[in-house]
Amino acid sequence: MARPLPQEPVFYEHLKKEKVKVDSRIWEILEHHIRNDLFLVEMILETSFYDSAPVKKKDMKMAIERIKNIVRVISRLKKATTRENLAT
Amino acid sequence: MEKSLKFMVVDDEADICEYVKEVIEKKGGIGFSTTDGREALEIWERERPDVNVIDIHMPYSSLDGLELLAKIREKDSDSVCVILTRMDDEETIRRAKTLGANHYITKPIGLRELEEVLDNILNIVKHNKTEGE
Repeated sequence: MARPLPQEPVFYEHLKKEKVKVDSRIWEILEHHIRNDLFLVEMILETSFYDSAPVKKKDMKMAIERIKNIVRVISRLKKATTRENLAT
Repeated sequence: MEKSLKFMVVDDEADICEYVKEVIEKKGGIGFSTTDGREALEIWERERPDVNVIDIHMPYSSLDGLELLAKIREKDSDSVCVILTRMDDEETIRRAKTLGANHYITKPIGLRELEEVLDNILNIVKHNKTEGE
């Protein structure tokens, strides 16, 4: 787990206070990819963990692809929603 | 798990379908899976699974999970329907329960938790089958 940012609690407070709303399409994309991809990665790793068996190569490949997909989706979303890009 | 218990897994992601099916088959169940809602209905008509594990949001499927659930419930109120979805909003949960979902699980879920839920369902199904004999 990544260490929480030192300002994280303040960020949450501000987001709540300022009533910051995220466009529902952004949640739709994020949740679709992250929840499905992480579900599979978790299944693969936990199967290996509880069975005390190495992760099969095909499953390893699948997990790596899913993790890369999450990174890709976040980059794409960021690119589509940052002010610099919206201006062009 | 009773060897005779049949499961159907419906998720538009083939990898997820196969993985959940594998978890079920490891426990001794007979698994069927499909990525398409209409095909799921055909499997359901043919195999009459004891437990149906259904995803809701299937944008590439001819039927989404809630439509499939409704169609199954039109014909059968006995089989267990488990929703396994990434959708966690109250409205969707309410709709699924109204349509007759017995359990609602939100992705991601850990393997042990998933197994626990499936074991509980299986015990109930087994118990009901024994009672009915």
